This record gives sequence, structure tokens and C-alpha cells, in this order.
Amino acid sequence: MSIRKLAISAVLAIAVLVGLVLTLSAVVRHKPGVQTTKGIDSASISRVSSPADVRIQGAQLAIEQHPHQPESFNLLASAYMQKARETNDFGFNARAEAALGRAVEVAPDDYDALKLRAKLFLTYHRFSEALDLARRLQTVRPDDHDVYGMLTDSQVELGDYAGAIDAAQKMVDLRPDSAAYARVSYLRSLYGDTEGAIQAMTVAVKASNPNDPESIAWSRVHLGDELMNADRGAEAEREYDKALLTFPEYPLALAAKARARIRAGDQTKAVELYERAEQRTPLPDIAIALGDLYAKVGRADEAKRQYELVEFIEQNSPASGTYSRQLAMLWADHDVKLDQALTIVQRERSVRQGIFTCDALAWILLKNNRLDEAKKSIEEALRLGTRDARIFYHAGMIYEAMGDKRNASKYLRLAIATNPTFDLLQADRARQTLAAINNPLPNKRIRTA
Amino acid sequence: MTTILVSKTIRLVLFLLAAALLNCSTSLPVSAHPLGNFTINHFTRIAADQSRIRIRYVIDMAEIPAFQATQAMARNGDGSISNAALNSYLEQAALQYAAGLMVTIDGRTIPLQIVSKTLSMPQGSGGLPTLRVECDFMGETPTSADAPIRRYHFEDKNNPERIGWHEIVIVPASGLKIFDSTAFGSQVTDELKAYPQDMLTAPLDERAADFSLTAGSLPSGVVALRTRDGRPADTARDRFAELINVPVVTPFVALLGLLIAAGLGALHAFSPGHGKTVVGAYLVGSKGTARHAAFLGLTVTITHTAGVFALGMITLFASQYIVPERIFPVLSFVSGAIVLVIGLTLFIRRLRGVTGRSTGAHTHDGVHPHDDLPTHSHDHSDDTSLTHSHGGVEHSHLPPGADGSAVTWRSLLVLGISGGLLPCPSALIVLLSAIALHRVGYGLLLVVAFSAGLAATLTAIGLIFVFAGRFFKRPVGENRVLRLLPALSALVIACVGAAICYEALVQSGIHLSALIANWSTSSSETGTAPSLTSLGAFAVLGLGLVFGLKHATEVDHVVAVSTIVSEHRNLLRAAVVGGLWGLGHTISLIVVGVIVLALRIAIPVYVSSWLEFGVALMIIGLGVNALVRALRRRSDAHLHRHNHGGVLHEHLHFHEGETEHSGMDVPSHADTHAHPVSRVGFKPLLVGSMHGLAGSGALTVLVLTQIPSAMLGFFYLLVFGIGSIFGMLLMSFLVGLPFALSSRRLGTVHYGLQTIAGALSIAFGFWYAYETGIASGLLRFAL
Repeated sequence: MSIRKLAISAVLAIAVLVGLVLTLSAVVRHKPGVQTTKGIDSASISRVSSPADVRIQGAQLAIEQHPHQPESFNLLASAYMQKARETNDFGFNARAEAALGRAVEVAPDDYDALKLRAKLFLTYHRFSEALDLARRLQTVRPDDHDVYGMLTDSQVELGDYAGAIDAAQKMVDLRPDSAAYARVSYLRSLYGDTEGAIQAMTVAVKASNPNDPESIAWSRVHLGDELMNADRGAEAEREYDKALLTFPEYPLALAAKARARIRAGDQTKAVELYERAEQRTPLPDIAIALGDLYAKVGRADEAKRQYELVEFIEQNSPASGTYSRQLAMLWADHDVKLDQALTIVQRERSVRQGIFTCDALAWILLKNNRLDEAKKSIEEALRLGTRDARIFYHAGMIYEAMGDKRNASKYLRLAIATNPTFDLLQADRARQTLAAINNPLPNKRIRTA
Repeated sequence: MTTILVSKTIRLVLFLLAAALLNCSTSLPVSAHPLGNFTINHFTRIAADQSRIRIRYVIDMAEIPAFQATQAMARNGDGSISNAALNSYLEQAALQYAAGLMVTIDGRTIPLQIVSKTLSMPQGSGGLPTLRVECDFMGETPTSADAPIRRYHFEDKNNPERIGWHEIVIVPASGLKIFDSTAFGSQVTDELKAYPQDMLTAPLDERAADFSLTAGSLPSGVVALRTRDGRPADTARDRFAELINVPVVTPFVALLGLLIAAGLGALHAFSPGHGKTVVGAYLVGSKGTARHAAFLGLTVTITHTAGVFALGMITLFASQYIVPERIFPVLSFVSGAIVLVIGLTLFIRRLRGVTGRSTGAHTHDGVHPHDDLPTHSHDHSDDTSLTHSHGGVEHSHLPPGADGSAVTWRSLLVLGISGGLLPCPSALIVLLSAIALHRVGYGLLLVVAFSAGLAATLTAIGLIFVFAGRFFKRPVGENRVLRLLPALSALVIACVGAAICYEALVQSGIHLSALIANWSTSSSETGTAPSLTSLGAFAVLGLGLVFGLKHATEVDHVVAVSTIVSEHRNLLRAAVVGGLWGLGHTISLIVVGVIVLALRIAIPVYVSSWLEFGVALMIIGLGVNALVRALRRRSDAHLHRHNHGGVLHEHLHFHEGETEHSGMDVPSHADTHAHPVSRVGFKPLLVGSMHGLAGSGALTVLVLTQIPSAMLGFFYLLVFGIGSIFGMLLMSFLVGLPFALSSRRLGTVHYGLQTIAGALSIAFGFWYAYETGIASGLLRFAL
């Protein structure tokens, strides 16, 4: 048999085999399998949408149907602002702004659009612009309860507490709802009336719109904060837990619960909670707290990274400037970039006279060794009688630096009594300083010996 | 004059410079990410076919998460992040992402393998770096889940709480249909490269998807996959259908379109089910000429064009009543049946010709060189379809236009019609969209061009077979087996016809194999659930054999082996090359397999990646080797002068690499000038074992996850290996055929072929190296 014959026979044999393999593999491929469930399983489509998501969808439908009515765009803007609150992500505010821009295009003087714009100013910390706009709106509709809310908020931030109280009173009179009681609670808290603040916030929680879990969770977190201030830690934590049940992974509640855990001495859990909160949205205040916590438990590298992150966010995010005071305080607490910190806070102080701005300025002035100005500023911060451990601590440290041991001791004790873990790193310094004031210095004893 | 011109130019340059500067200073950083700098954005594209699910997964981190991710990384002296740190981050991220993606098919969780991964840091807003990780994952569809309809569930559990754009796109493989899908078939962001700038629309938040996949027609009452704007999604990307959708048809575009259509048609002919085998087997068996091949091509073109037109018209007028998908299986069945009938008729006739029991058999001589052929007979068994059968001897009775040729012409016509009867769906889509776009004429032209391209390929294949057949024209000795060959080729035709019919039945929802399998499983004790884990040992091993056969035909294997084969001119030796390759492949597979099965360990992905890359380098090396040999032919091939029984004899002589002249002056050629057949060397063995190593990762994972007993797993590997030996033996034999044939006749053709094989191998090797090394990110940071 020649090679050619072999070739032909082989070619055809292969062809037969290929045919067989093809047929076989076709048979194999079409074996009957597991019966499939037909239709779409609604439970597995996607994760649950938040109320803001639902509102965004609704608003977009409205825009499709009524593209020439400002209401549709207002609806969308407000939904995006709610989404920003739900997620703590500024990005959505930019979308709200874009929607408002369209509303104004359609109707330049639309009242609701302007109202939303004022709200947006508040979230951007542009308080004087918010106040101006709110006053304009007040002249248009003197009985709009929302406007008084904005008047309250902007005046609180700007330091006009008397004006804020008037506006809040008017708001409660017009409609005593959750938003109004929340503001009453906050003002009472600022004036040192913790019990009153707890009462008002309890009402606010009860009066919350059941369809807006984020606002319920927000109220509960603030109620919890007041309870913490009254040293009722267990109750506070219950509120935080409820907030997390109402609105899972709510960053504000995670951070608040972490603070409560720290106060209870459970730093491991606190780390986990802060990390969860940061996982969702890395906000500067969370990063600072987590950094301090890392530093406290000896994870110095990670702490450093958190602090770097704060600087990065503050300098590179679209809402940059919103957290500049936190950044300045971070620098001051760590005794770095003190002149830059001073510039930031002085700039803020020139437009805002709120007690927290005064407190920050006082602390940074102290760090810059400008004691007289620091004292003046801390007195402004203390003017309402607010029970805030941090302000007390700063006051104590300023008096200590000035040699006023009596006041130093008083305020440092107050700080520790109000919240023994108000700040993981600074609280230790408060205790050390207090101990140094009260006890005769050990080196003195050495000298006498 | 010139000064004015110069000053004008200068002014223009200055203006442009100023404009550029102004542009720089005024351009604000545009946030690339729709949700701001906090976001981690996800993109998933799922492509599922019968055997596997492929997932393209892209993570785009905005500036802040990118900062967080890179914060802890090691830095170089200049503050840039070190490549090693990025590499290990990517390594970790890919693993973590793969673990965070949940894929189930019919409720069964599918483990994902990392196919490739890359990391890049494109600039975001304000020149700050963002972080982009692109991964390709793959999961094997469990053969047990081989159901007519499969339900897929996908869930992206990475960064569950993080805000960001979440996009999921489903892409069906061509020929498959997706329905009842919660995800869409079109994408928005081009893999997160271009986000919609519209600030009003909410960012997508697609984190899970469910869909069903079927190879058959859509069950009634289901919703087919849709695009985001609600149109039915195309099955796969249909390049041909895109041709019609150009906005303006200029003459140039039209011409280009026609050329592309012809090219696509030509390529399309290579996809299964276009009767290439039928054409080839028929022409070889019936001693066709170039004219026959051309005629066949023409028939296919006309039938295909007419078929598309007819179906287009039918679809247009009856679209309310008939779904086009329902027509395809019917046509497919009809064309399969035609092929089957032709094959069977030929088979019976040829068998009769062989056994000599033909009715009108007669001998004839004179015109054609039919030496030594006792059973040379014309078979005029009936008047309607007379067929020539010459007991396997290749000669032609068909001078162009000769009266006696009508018989073959007719069956050629039938064959051509069956080849073109089944219109290509994309051709139909083009025609329909042409009608919809009022570009009917252009659409028709495109369809004609497509059909012509299709026919050109078929004709070319036919010609190759005819050409190859000529080499066998020489008289061959009497041999019963050899005379059976035309009958066998007819049997192949019948088999292909049966396969086409079978596919058509499956498409129309009739599952023969289901019936058979039900019958067979109920008769055996293996139970009803036909999964690999519960299938009987025998069935598993049977599958192993089939998969092994199929495995041998994978591109990188064939390329490597054909390069080695191209160096040989002996068919037997070519087959031995394939066999040795298979042996090497099997040995390394079994060695690795035994280790894996015994220790129950998994092979790290990067090891597999490096081995794949090694295969690519090896293929390049083989190609270079073959090329060098081909180009050095002057030193290998030479005029050889010697004596054969006193007669001075001169002929062209080739040398294999291993062979040597034992002496030019020795009188007896056969004794001393041996070209040993068995000496093929260890090269194929080594190449095979390299392939085996590289492929062991994927295979052993499959075996590990699917086969419970280690012993059965081992036997599966063994049988798989035997299948691959056998498969590659056949493959290399086939590949060796043109080399062996050409070596007998023309040295130049042979070396041309070898050069081409070498060059192709180098090209493929480079491509493969790029795919496995660069595109997968293996070398990105190592370079």
C-alpha cells in the first residue's frame, strides 16, 4: 500500500471521525439539565432602593412629562439633596445644583427653587448667603415654616443666637413638627439645657416622617448625643442602634455609636464602626476620629494615613472648605502647621461668630502663643453656657497657660466630667494637666530633697 | 508680499499660542466621575455561552479612594509608587474582586478564575491620579447544567456600601438568546471611560442581574433582552448589520461597505454549518474539477441571495404572524435533510460500486489513463441521478460542458442549494434594516456581496480539495479498503446532514438527546440528575475522551504542532509528531494532575499565566526555527547525482534536519541514503508537555470541582490525555498533508508553505504573548 493510498484512507477516516465527534459533542452539549425557574425573581433584582432613590426616579418621570415646569426640577433637586444626606456624599449636591439651575432657567423667580437654593447654601456652609436669601423669601411668604428653619440654621452658624431663637420660636408656632423641635432641641443644648434638649429631640423623633428613615435616624443620633451629654450612655447607644436599624450603615449613626463604644472602653468595636463608616464615605471628621483611635491603640502608620487623608479630602474635594475648621483643629491638636491653621480659622471667624468658631480660634491662638486673644475668644465660646467637653478642655488649657490655676482646674474637671472620652488623645492631656495642677510637681519634691 | 505672509503666519502662531495658554488657565478641573471624588465605580459585562461565562469587570476609583488605596504603597525615590507595590495591589484586588462576584447558574455557584488583570492610574480632576483596575474573569459552565434553558444570577458584592456608578451589561454569544433579564444589553459609559455629563439623571446602581440563556428559540411569554432604550438587544455584535447603519451613503462608503460585506461573507463561511465539509468531501469523492467548484460557489451565492430575499419578503409581509426565529430551524432542517439524503444516496451507490453489484457497470478505456483497474466501472443505476464511481481512483470524466456531465451538475446544484438555503441571520437583518431605512437597493447589494464572499470561500475550499485530489490522480493499486473511500466520504456527508438536522430539531425545541438520555439514565442505575458529579464513571470517562479529542484542536496547540509538522515531508512522521505531542501533553497533565488531586491544592493563577506566556514564547521560537530552515533551503536542498543500476540520475534532494548523507559516491541509494521515518526527535514531546503544563491549571480546577473521587479524576485525566493524543495525531496528519503532498512535487511550494507556517507561527506567538503577557497585565510592571 503506497503512502498515497494511506493518505486518502486517513483523510476520509478522519473526516468520518470528525463527523462523529461533532455529532457526539452536539449530543453531549444538549443533555437535559436542571429545570430552570422561569420569570424574574423580584427579590433578587437589586438591593433595596432608598427613599431618595425612589424620589429621584419619580422626579425624573415628572421631568419627562412636564419639562417646562420648575416643580419637576425642584423635586429632583430636593431628592438629590436627600440622597446627599443619606450617603454623606457631596457629589449629589452638585446634581441638586444642576437641577436647580434648570428650574431657574424655566422660571427665574420660582419661590421653591430659591428656597432649595438657600438650603444648598447651608449645606455648602455659605451661611451669610443662605441668611440673605432666607430673609428675601421671608418677605415673600412670611408664614412659610421652612424659611424659619433656614433662618434658624444660618443665624446659629453665624452666631446670632437671639435671632435664631426668635426664628425657631416662630417655626414652632407655625407648625410644631419634627424639624422645628429638632431646632429647639439644638438651641436648648447650646444654652446648656441638656434635659430640655433631650425632651425636644424625643418629640422630634416621634414626630418624624415615617417615610423618611434618614430623618428619623438623624433625629435619633442627635437624641443619642444629648443623652451622652447627660451621661446616659446606655440609652444613647440604644438610640444609635435604632438609628442603624431604621437606616442601615448610616454614617452619622456609625460614628456616634463608635464614640459611645469608646466611652464604654470598647476600642476594638469603635475601630470597626469607624472603618465601616469610612468604607461608605471617607469624611474628614470620621477620618480624624479613626486616626486618633489608631494612634491610641498603637497603629501609628495607619493613624498617619488617616490624617493625610483628611488633608487630601479637604484640599481636593468639590466641597473643599466645608471641613477646613476640622483640618485646622487637627493641625492644632498635633502641633503642626499652626500658622496655616490660624489663617483658616481667622478667615472663618471674620464671617461667623458661632461658639464653635470662637472655640477653634481660641485653641489655635493658644497654640500660637497669643494668650490674651485666646482668652478673649474662649470667653466668647463659653458665653452661652454650652456643655461641651471640648470647649471646656480648651478653656482649661488656656487658663493653665495663663497661670490661672483655679479656672484651669475648674474647666478641665468640667471637660472630663462632661465626657471622659471627648477626644481620645486630648482627654489624656486634660487628665495629665489636671493632675499636674492639683498635685505638687514631682520634680519639686526632688529639688527639696 | 512675503513679509505680509510671514507676519500673518507669526500672528496666527501667536494667536494659537495665546489661545492655548488661555485655555490652560481658564479650564476648570472637570470631574470625570459623575458622583464626585468619593466614588468607586463598577462596570460588569457578562458574556455567557454554552460552555463558559466571561466577565469583564472594571473598577474605577475616583481621586479620594484612589488616594486611600495608594496611601500605604511603597514609594520610589522620586515619590512615585513602586511597580512592585502596584503589582501586589493588583494581585490582591483581582482576587478580592473575584471573590466578591457571585455567579450562579441554575442555583449552582460558579467559581471565577482570573483570566487577565490590569491596573492603570489615569489622571482625574485637578491632575490627581485615579485608579482603574480591569479584570477578566471566567467561569466554566458546569456540564451538568447543560440544560436547554439556564438561569443565571450575578451579584456584585464588592464595596457594598460605597457610592458609585454601578453598571451591568449582558452580551449573549452569537446564536444564543437571553431573556427575562433584569439587566440590559447595552452599555452607557464605555467601560467607565465616559460618564454621561448630564447631571440630572441618577447614576446607575445596578449591582445584581438575573437572566436566562437558551440556545434554542425563545419560550413563549418571555421578554427578550433589551437595550436601555427599550429596543431588542442584538445577539452579539453583528458587524455585518452595522454596515447598513451608516448615516450617509457616499459612493466611497458604499464601495467600502460592499467590500467589507464580501469579506465578512467569506469569513462567515468558515463558521460551522456552511457545508465546507460537504463540499470538500463531495468534490474529493466525486473527482470534481475547478469548474465544478466554481459552479458550486455560484449556486451557493444565488441560493443564498435568493433565500435572504425570499425570507426578507416573507418576514416583511408576515411579520405579524410568523416570528423569523421560527423559520430558521425549519430551513435548517430542510437543508440538513437534503445533505443527509445526498450523502445516503451517494453512500449506497458507491458501496455498490465497490462490491461490484452495480446494475449498469461497464469498463471502458482509451481516453483516460486508467491503468491496472479491474473494477473500474461506470454506475448508471438509474436515469435521474447518475453518479460516477471509480473505485476511489481520482480522474475526471467531466470535460467542461460535456454531455455526460449533466448528472454531476445536477447533484452539484442540489448540494449548492442546500449550502445556500439557510440564510445567514445577519444578512437578513441587513436587508430588513435597509428596508426600514429606505435604502433597499444598497441593502440588496450588500446581501449579494455577502453571498459572493460566502461562495468565494466555499469555492476556494472546493478548489483546494480538487487541487489536493490531483496529487492522487496517479493509478493506485487494487485495494479493497481504498475503494471503500468514496463510500466513506459519502457517509461523512450523511453524518453532517444528520448533525444539521439534529441542531435544527434542538433549535425548534425538540430534544432528541434529552429523550435518549432519559431513556439511558432510566435504564442504568446512575440516577436522573445528569451532572458530572452524578454521572456514572463510564460517562465521565467518555466525556473525557471527547473533550480530549476536542482539546487537541485548540489554536495554540495546532499552531505549534503544524510548525513542527511543516518540517517533515512524511505523513507518517507528521502523525508521529502529533502523537508525541499528545504524549508529552498527557504526561505533564497527569503529573500535575496527580499532584493536585493528591494534595487538593490549587495552582496559583500567576503560575498559569507565566506558563501561558512561556507557550507563546515557545511558539515564536518554533516559528523562527521553521522559518530559518525554510530560508536555508539552498543548503538543505540540492541537486543530487547518483547511480541507479548504472544509469546516471539527477534529482532534487531535500534533507531533514536530522538526516545526513552517508556518502555521495555510494552506488546504492536505498541502502545508505536513509531518511529515517521514526526519527522525529524529542521536540514535539517537549512542546506537548509545555502545553500540558500551561493548560493544567484550568483543567485541574474543573476536575477538582466537578469530580468527587480522586481515582476517577485521575482516570478522567488519563482518558482525556489519550483523547488528546489521538486528536493531535489526526490533526498533525491533516496538517502534514499539504506539506507531504507538496514535497513530492515542488520544492518551492513546499518551502513556501513552510515559510508561511513559520511566519504565521511567529505572528500568532507574538499575539499570544501580547494577550497572555501584556494585555493580562502579567508584564505590565515587570517591564
